[in-house]
Parts: sequence; C-alpha cells; structure tokens
Amino acid sequence: MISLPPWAPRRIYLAGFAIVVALIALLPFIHDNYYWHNQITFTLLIVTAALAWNWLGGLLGQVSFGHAAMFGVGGFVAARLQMSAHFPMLIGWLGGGVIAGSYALIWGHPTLRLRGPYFSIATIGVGEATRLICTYWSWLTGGSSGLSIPVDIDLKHQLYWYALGLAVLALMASYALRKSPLGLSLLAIKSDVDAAADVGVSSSRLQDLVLFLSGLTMGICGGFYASYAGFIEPGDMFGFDRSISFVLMGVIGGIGTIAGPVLGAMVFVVLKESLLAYYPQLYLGLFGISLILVILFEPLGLVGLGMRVLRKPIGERP
Amino acid sequence: MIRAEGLVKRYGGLRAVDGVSFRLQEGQILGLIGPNGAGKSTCFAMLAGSTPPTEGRVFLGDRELTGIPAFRAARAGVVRTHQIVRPFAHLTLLENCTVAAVQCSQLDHRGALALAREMLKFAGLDARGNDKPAALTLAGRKRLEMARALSCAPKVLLLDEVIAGVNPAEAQEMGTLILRARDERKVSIVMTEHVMPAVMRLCEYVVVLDAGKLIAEGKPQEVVQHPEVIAAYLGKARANAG
Repeated sequence: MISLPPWAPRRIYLAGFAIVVALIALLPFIHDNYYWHNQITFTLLIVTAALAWNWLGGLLGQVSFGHAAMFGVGGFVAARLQMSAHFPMLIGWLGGGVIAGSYALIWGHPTLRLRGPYFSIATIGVGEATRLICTYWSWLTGGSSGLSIPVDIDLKHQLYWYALGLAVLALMASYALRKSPLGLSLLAIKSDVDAAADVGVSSSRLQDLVLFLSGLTMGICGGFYASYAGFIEPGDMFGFDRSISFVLMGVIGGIGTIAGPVLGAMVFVVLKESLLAYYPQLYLGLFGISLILVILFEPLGLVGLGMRVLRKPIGERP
Repeated sequence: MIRAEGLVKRYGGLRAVDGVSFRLQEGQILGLIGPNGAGKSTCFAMLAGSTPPTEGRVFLGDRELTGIPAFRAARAGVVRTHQIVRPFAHLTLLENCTVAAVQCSQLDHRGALALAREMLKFAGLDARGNDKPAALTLAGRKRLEMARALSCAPKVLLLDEVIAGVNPAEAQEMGTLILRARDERKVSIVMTEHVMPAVMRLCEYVVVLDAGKLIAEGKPQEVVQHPEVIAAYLGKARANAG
C-alpha cells in the first residue's frame, strides 16, 4: 500500500479535473463528429442543470419535482429577449435566468416552509400549473406550436464550449458551496431544521437564497437550450418528465454529493439516447427499476457504490 | 444574566407552564428540576425562542428576548442543547461546530473555524473531527451537543438533560465538563436534570417545578428537604407519613 501525503489527493483530483476539461475542450479539433459534438454539448448542459437541482435537492434536502418550470421560464424569456427585444444572446440567457430565479422565489418562499414529501408534492403542482399557464400565454411561448429561434450553424458549433464553460462553472460553484459557511448551514438545515435554528441558522433566508441560485442556473440552462435547439415548445420545456429527469439524475448518481449529479446526468443521457429510439417504454421502466434499487440498497447512488468498492467507512462518506 | 418574568404557556386548556419567574446570576449554574411533565422543557423552549410564551417576558441583561425566533436568541447569546441529541448527521463533527461558530460567534470565518476546533478539543472530541456523528456513542453525541452549543460563544447555556442516559463514569466526566464550561468559557448555565446527585454536585441554586407551577427554590440541599418537593417526587401519602 502506497501512502500519499495529505495534500496529494487534492492536487491529484485538481490535475485530473483539469486534464478532463482540456480533453473535452480539444475533442472537436481531434475528431469532429457531428453526432458526438451534439451529444457532448447536450450532456454538459444537463450536467449543469443536474448540479443546480442538487443545490436544492441534495444540499438542502428539498426535493423538487418542478424544476422544469424554471428551465422553461428561462428558455422562453431568453428567446423572447433575443427575438422581440433584440438583446444579445448572453444577455438573453442572463435575463432568462434572473426571471426564472425570481419566479422560483415567488412560489418557493411560501412552499419552502414545508419539508420533505410535502414540499415535493407542492412542487409537482407548481410545475404543472406553470406548464398549463405558459401553454396558454402564447404572447410569451407561442402556445402549443412553440417558438423557433434562428440558429447560426457556426454559433451552434461554438455553443459546445459555452456548455463546457457552464458545466465547469456549475461544478466549481458546487464545490465552493459545499465548503462555504452557506453550504454547511444548508446541510445543517437538511439534517435538522429546528436544531439548526438553535445554533443561529436563519433557515428561511438561506433556503430562499439557494432556491434563487438554483432557479437562476436552471433558467440559464433553459436559455442555452433555446439557443442550441432552435425550437422550443411548452409541452417539452415544462414537461413533467423533464422535472422527473433531474430527480432521477440526482438520486441515481448520488444525492447531495458533487460527483453524483455529474455521473447521473451522463448515465441518463447515454441510456436515454441508446434506448429511446427502439424501446421507449423500456427506458422509463429501466429508470424506475434503478430508482427502486438505489433507494433500497444504496441511498448514495453511484457515488455510494464507488465508496463501497473503495471500502470507505460510513463515517467518512459524504 | 437571564430573567424570566411570569412565564405562561397554554396549549388549549392545558397550562404547561403557569406563571414561572426566576433569575440566573452571572457565572451561576441554575438547576431547573421537577417530575416528568412539570414544564421544564417548555420553559427551556421559551427561553431559547423555540416557542413564544403565551404570557410573560424573557430578558437577557437589559435586552428583551420575548417571542424572538430561535436563531435570533442564539445569536443574542442564549443557546440550548437537546434532551434527545440532535447532531447534524450530514456534517462532520468539526463542521457541526463550525456552523454554530460561523452563525453566532461574530468572528470571521478563520476565527470561527479556530473556535470550533477549540470547542471540539474542549469536549474531548478533537481526534474525531472528520467523523460523522453516526460514528459516536450516546455519550459522545451528548458531548458534541455541548461542543456545538459552546461554539456559538454563548453568554447563557441551556442544558437539557445532558447527563441522563449515560453511564456513571461518563456522567462524572460530563459534570466536570459543565463546571469547566462555566469557569473557562465564562458562561452562565441553566440545566434541567433528572439525575439528582448531579444536580446536588453542580447547581448552586435550584428551581423546582410541578404541574407547571414553581413550588420551591433555593440551595439544592434546602430544596430537597422541602415538603412540597418531596410530595411532588414521591407522592402525598409518603410525604405525610415522613
């Protein structure tokens, strides 16, 4: 057994992370395949969204089944800002993100007083209500027929690196959040909201803050998706299966960990892509089965499985 | 330090606490005792801001704390522990204390971290800082409750049955820890406790509650001789026979 000095693991992780990011960034120059270009861009976007979901679902322990609402609001606001008000793309994304975050606060401030399953049930209602209202608001969303955003083919190619940038930012934000006083306070609220108040944690303010950050990032992802896909419609953007997909990624990957949503998102995109075309029923069934297996046998998902393989004692697990 | 004036807590028709007043002097250890259901924990909850009193007022020095939320009471310097331990299961021991220090101690992040380490060491848990609370025994978790509460740098510590439920050797150590907290950390302490030898050893002043009412107060040796106290604990017939 080789023993490493205490600073070594951290540097090894950092170096590994930098190498992976560099490889992904250079990949299109080495082997420019349209299919993989598309797949990786999309995966990076979903990784970002899954990380943002995990700030609320993992760190705070408030599992949202309605995060597609912010994804959709961000997407449509960003599209409208670009098409009707002729703002540049990045301003459009940011505007969509801010509106989505603010929208999250409007429904979230009252509902975050609920905890656990009660909060989750409320978010199902929020998600579905948002979908219905936005389907009727054709001035914003174009109704059921949706919106087409003109996409420049060069821009679409470049969006690959934008997606990588978003994912790296979300990953660094997750890490900083986990180590920051805010992250510790969120985990304390997740453990025991009353005991947290007894050591001075103001739960309502911090819950609102993290919900805003999560909604903001979700909205930016929606804006990116609008620019990348070139066509968005409410049934897809606000769809319940989209909301569910974020929960699945978090839970299957490892809820509350940082690697978890990343792994979960990758597994999700790959499985969905390979199964959806031929066995559309099988794909949802497969996710259902893996969800049950994770909840029954390994509450920390793929990350927990990895720790079991590495034989980390329970006391050292995240 | 802390002053309760005519505290009343009603739950529907039940008066859980019925007009209780007492005063904690600086550097004192005050015992709040009484049989089960006497209203001790409800009193604690009102002092710590966990629940607002129906009537009455709570002061810390000159500052009125009546009805403020728990997180503000903690930041003002009144911090409680829990009868049934409530560690933050998702955080390491050091992080458990760091949260408290960051939120309450008014130190910067570095200072808060140093205070958290110091308090873990104070409670004898410094070797286990990177463990999760799940890895501790009950006595260890009770010490963690103490370390976490002290990381708030409180003026007044409210200890809710920190000794009950551990073995005699651990109880002895916990008692010593409480005395050291008073002397070294300069906190004044209100404690509820069922373990009478610990009350006799630690408390300078005792307030006895029964059925929500204050029935006796004074030095512990005097209070245990008080007929109403004996009646509350052992029943009327025995008291009369004695």
